[in-house]
Amino acid sequence: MNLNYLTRRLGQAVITFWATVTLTFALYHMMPGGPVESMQNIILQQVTTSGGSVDLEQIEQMVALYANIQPNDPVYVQYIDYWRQLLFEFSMGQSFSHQEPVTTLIAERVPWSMFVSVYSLVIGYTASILLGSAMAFKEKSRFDSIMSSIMVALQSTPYYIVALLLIYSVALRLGWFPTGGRVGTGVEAGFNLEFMTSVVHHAALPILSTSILGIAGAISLRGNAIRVLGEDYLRVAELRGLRPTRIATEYVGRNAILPMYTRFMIGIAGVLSSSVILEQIFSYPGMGLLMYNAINIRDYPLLMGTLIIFTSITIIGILIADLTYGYIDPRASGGGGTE
Amino acid sequence: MKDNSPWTRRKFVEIGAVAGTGLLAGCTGGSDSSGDGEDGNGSSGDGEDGNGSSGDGEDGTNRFNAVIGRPLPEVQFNPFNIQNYGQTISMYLNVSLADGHADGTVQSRFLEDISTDGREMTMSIPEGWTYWNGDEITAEDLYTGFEIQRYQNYDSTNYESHEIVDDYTVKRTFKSRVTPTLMQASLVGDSFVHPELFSEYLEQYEDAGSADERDSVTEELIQYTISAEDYIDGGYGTGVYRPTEWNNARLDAELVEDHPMAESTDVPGVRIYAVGGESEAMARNNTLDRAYAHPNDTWMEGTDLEIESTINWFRAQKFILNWNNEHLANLNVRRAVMAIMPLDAMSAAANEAGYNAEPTQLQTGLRESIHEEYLGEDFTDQLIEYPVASDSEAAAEYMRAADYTQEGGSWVSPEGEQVSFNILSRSNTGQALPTTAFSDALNRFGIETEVNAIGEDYYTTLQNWEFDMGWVWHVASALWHPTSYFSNDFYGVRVGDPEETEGTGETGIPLTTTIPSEVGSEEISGSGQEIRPAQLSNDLPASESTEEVRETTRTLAWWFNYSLPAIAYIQENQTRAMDTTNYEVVPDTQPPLDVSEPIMKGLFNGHIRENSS
Amino acid sequence: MSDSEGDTQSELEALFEPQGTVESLTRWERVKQQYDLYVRAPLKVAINDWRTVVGLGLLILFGLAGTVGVWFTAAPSSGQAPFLLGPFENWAYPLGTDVLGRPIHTQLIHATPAMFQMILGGAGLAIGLATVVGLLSGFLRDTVVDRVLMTIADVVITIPGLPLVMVLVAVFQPRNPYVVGVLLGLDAWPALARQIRSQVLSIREEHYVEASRIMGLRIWTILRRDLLGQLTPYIAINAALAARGIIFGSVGLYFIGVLPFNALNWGVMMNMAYASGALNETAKLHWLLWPMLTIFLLSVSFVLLSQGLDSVFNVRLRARHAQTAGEGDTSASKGEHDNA
Repeated sequence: MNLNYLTRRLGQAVITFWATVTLTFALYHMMPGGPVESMQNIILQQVTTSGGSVDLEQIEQMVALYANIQPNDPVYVQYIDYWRQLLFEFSMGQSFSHQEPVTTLIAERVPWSMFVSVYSLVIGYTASILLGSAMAFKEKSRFDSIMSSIMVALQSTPYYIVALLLIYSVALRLGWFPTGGRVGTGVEAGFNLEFMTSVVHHAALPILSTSILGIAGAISLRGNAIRVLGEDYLRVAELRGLRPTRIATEYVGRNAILPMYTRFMIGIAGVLSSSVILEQIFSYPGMGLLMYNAINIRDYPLLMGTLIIFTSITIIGILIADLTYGYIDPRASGGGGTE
Repeated sequence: MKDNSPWTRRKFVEIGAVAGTGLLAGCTGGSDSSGDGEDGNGSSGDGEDGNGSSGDGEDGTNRFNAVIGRPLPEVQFNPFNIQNYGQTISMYLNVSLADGHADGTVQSRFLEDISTDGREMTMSIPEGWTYWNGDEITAEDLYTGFEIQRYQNYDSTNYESHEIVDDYTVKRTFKSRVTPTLMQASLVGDSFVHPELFSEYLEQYEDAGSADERDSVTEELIQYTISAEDYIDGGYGTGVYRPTEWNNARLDAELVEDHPMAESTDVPGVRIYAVGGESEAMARNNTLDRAYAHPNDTWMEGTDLEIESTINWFRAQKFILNWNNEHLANLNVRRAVMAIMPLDAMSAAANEAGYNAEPTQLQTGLRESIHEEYLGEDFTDQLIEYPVASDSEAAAEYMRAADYTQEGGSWVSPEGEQVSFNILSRSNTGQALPTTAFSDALNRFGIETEVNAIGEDYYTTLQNWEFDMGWVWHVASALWHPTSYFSNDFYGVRVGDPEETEGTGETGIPLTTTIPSEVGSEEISGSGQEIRPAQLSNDLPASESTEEVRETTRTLAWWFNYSLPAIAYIQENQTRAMDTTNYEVVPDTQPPLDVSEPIMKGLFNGHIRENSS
Repeated sequence: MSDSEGDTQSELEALFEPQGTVESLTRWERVKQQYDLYVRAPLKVAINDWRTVVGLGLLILFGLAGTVGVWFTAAPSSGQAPFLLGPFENWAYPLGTDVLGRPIHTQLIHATPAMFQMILGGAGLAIGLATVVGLLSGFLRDTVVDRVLMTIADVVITIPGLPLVMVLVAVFQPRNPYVVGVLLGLDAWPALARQIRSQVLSIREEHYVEASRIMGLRIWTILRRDLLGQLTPYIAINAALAARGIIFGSVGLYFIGVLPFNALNWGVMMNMAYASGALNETAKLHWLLWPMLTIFLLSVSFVLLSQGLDSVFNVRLRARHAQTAGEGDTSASKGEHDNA
C-alpha cells in the first residue's frame, strides 16, 4: 500500500461525500413545494393525527409566520451555510416534524440499523461462503444441483416477501418472534441479559430477511472456487502431498473468498437501502423508518440528513475495505489503475 | 376562519383535541392493518417497541394500558405553537373546559357553570382545584389563555374582550351576538395556561400598539416550546393522572390522589403507548385495556377486550365534485355520477379496510344523526332521494336529460366530447378500495376514469384543485353541529371567498347561485331562490339563535341536496373495545360519556374503575 | 457461472468452430457461418440448458399474459364476482377474488404490461447508460473523461439505491411506468459500466499486441469488430439481472405506498391485501399470496435466464478464445464473468 493509493482513496471518498451532499441539496430544492408547504403539510398531518380538525386559514397564517422566521437567503448562501453547519457544528438543521435536531434523531437510530445491517451481512455472507464452497467441492453432485436451484429461488425472492412470509409463519402463526418493534415493552435498557435477549429476539426476523441479500454470493463464490480448483498450483499442491483441508483453507478458501471482501463492504449500501422497506414492515424504528416517515410528510431537513448519513456509512465501509484489502491480500499492493 | 365568528382561528386547531384520538388516529386504529397506519407512518412516530409482555403489574401497580398520541419526547406543550404541539396528550393530561356531546350539547366536567346572556358568557371555576405543583387554578389562568388567544388572532377573532370578574369567574364578551350553544362550543378544546409560563407574552401583547408589534410577539410565541420534561417536572398540568416516567415508546402516569376527579376511581396508574405499528399486535395479545375495534372483529375472543362503546361519530367522508370540469358543471351529470356511485359497495369496502362505516342515505351534507335536531323530518322527507346502490338506469336518465348520448358504450357530451374524469384519492386502503369501487362503477356505466392515489402529502396535492373528483374527510371540527359540516374549507364544503359575489370558487361553484324555492323540486320553476352559499356558511357560526342556525342549515342542506357540490358517501361510527374483565365504566356519570373517545375521556376524568364483580 | 451439462460441452463447443478456412468462404457460406455462430449454436446450447428453457418459457408466458392475455380477459371490475372467493373454488375465477369482488387472475394479468414497461424503461436505461459510459471510459482510458465518468459511477454505487429513488420519486411523482422504471434504473448502471470498461481494456490489451504484431490492423477496427461479440454476454446477463432489480424495487416501493399509483400493480395489490389484514385473516390470505408468487416467478425467469445465458456465452467464449487467441491465452478476460 503506497501513499499515492491512500490519498487517491481518501480523495475518492471526499468527492463522493461532496457529491452526495450537493445532490441531496439540489434535490431538496427541486422538491415540489418549499419548506413552507412542507411545514403546512406536517402541521396538517400532526393536527389531524392527534386531534381532528383544523382551521386551514389559520394554519396558512401561522405557517406564513413560521416562514418569516426561516432564513430566506439565496440558494448558494444556503448551500454554503449547510456545509458550514455540517462541517463545523455537525448539525443538519432542525427536523420539521420532531422536536429535535436532525443529528440527534439520526444518532439515536443509527446503531439499531447498523446492528441489523451488519449482522445480516455477516450471516448472509457466512452462509454464502459455506454453501458456496460446499457446492464447489461437490461440484456436479446432487447436493450441488439442489443447492443451485435453491439459490435461484432465494435470488428471485425479494427480501420484503421473505419478511412477510416470516411474519406470517414464525411470528403470527407460531408466535416465536414479535412482529415488530426493537425491544420488548417494559425492558430496561442497559447491559442486562433481559434487554439483550429482547433486542436479539426483536432483530432476528429483520436480520434474517435482510441476510437473503447476501446469500446470492454463494453462486459467485462457487464459481470462484471452481476456477481456483482448476488451477495448476492446486494440482502441484496435491502432488506435494498437502492435506486436503489445508488445500481447502489455504488455497481455495483464500483465493475464492478474497474477491468477496470488497463486495461485502459495498453490500452495506444494499442492506441499508433495503432498510427503508423492511423497517416499515417490522415497524423497527431505525434509520430506514425515520427516512420513510420523513419522505411521507416531506420533512426535508430530516430527509436530507438520512440520505447523507446512509451514504456516509457506505463511504466509510468502502474506504475500510479499500484500505484493509492490502493487509488481507498482500498480493494486491495498491490496486491497479482506477478500477 | 371566518370573520365575525366565535370560531377563532386558534379554536379550530384546539377544538380537535376533544375528538379523542381524533380523525386520523381513529381511522387507522379501526383499520385492520399494521401497514396502513396513517399515524404509524405519519408524523406520529414509529411506535418504538411495544409488544410482548403485558404492562400490567411489572412494577407492582395495576395499570390501564392504552395507545394514544405521539411519544412525549417528540411533542411540546405550548398550545399557541401548533408545530409539534402534543394535542392528544395535552387533552388527557389536563382537565378540559368543555366537551362536545353527541346530542349536540356542550358540557363541562370542570367548570361549575357556563351561563350566557346576550353577547356575554360567564364561566365559574370551582374552588380548590390545583395544578400538579399545588398552585390553585384561578380566573387569571383562564384569562391569560383566552387573552393570548385573542391577541394571536387579533383581526379575525370574534372575542371582543375577556374580563376577570372575581378570583373564580371570567367573562367573555363576543363582538356580535352568537347562539348560546356556539358560545359554549367556543370553549371546546380551549386551554387555560399557567401564568408562570405565559404572562410575559400576555404583557408584551398588551404593550403592543400596532399589528406589526403584535405580529412580532406572535412570532416569538410560536417559537416558544415547552418540553414535556419542563412541563411535567414543573407540575403545570391539571389532569387526574400525572406522568412519572416516559420514553420514546410510552409514558407511565400515576393517579393524583387528592384530585377532585379521583374520587370515583381506584385505577392507580395508566400506561400510554405512543401510536405505532405495534398497536394492533398489542391489542391482540391482550396488552391493551382499550383498543380500536370493528364489530366484525373476531380476534377479541382471545382477549379480555369487549366492545364497550359505539357512537355515531361526527366524521363522514366525501368526494368533492369539481365544477370546473365541463361535464361536472352540468347539474344532471353530477346527479348521474351520484346515481352511479355505489355507496353501499363503497361502504362495504371501507369496512374491509377497518372503518365502521355506513352508506349515507340522504345527501344533506350533514351527518344523519343531527338531521332531527337541525332539519327535522318534515324537511328531510321532502329532499331529493338519490339511489344508494349504483343505479345505471337512473344515471342514464340524468345523462339524457343533460343531452348526453351513449356512443359505443361511452357517454358523449352534446359537444361531442367523451366524458372522462380524473379521481384523486389517497393510497391508504381505506380510501383506495372505495375509490376503486366508485371508479369501476363509472367505467361500467360508460364514463372513463383515471384514478390517482397518492400518499401522505395528500392535502397539499388536494389544494391544487387539479382533480375532477377528489376524496377528503367530511367534518371540519370535532363537534356534532352544522358548522362542522358547512365550514367553508375542504373539510366542510369549500365554496369560495364569502366577500365576493361574482365568479366561482376553487371548485367552480358559483358564489351566487339559484336553487328552487320549493324544497325537493328537481328543477327550478319560476325565479327560484338566489343564495350565496359561501356567505351562508360563513354566517352560520354567527347565528344569533338556534332557530337561525336551523334556518341557515336548511338552506345549505337544500342547496347541497339539490346542487351536489360534493357527495358524502359514508358516515362513520366510532367503536371502541375495553377490558371489561378488569375494568368498568362508573355508571351514571354526569355529564354522560356520549363524547368522542368515551373510554379515554372516562379514564382521564376518573370515570373508569376496577371491576369489582 | 456453472456449466451444468459437462458431457455435452465439448460437443457444443465444436459448434462454434468455424467450418473452413477464412479464404475459401463464399458470401453465402459466410452468412451461414455467422448464423451458426451467433444464432444456431447459442440456441442449441440454450436448449440444452434447462435454466434457459424454463426461464425463457416463463418469460414468454408472462409476455403472452401481458399482451394476448390483456386482450382476452376483461379488465377486473369491482362487484363482478362474489367477494373474497378462495382460490380454486369457482373455475371462472381460478385464483379467487378480492374484497371488491375483482378476480385475482385478471388483476395479475392486467398489471403485467405496466411491469414490463417499467422493466423496459429501467433495464433499458441501466444497460444503455452502462454501455455508453463503459465504452467511453474504456476507449478514453486515463483521460479526464474516464476519470470523471468513473468517479460518477463510484458516487452512484455508494449512494444507497432505494433511499435515493424514494427522494427522486418525491421530486418527480412519476405515474408513467416507463418513468418509474427509469428512476429505478438510475441506480443500476455503474457496476455494469465498470465491467464493460474493463472488458474494453482487456480487449484492447489482448489485441493491441497481437494486432500490431501480426496484421498491422488499426486498433479501432479490431475493437469495433470484437466489441459486439465480447460485450453481448455482459449486456444480456446484466439486462436480465437489472430486470430483476427493477421488479424488486418497483414492487417494494408500491408495496410500502411511496409511489403514487393509478393502475393495477402487483405491489399495490400486496399493499391493499396486507393493509386489509391479509396476514391475520385466512379468507384474505390468497389476495396477498398470488401477487407474491407472481413476482417470484417473474424474477425466477430472469434469474434463470441470466444463468442460462451465462453458460451459453461461457461456452462460446471458450470456443472463440481457443480459436482467435490461441492455446493457453484464455485467462485474460475470464475472471470477470463471475461478477455478473
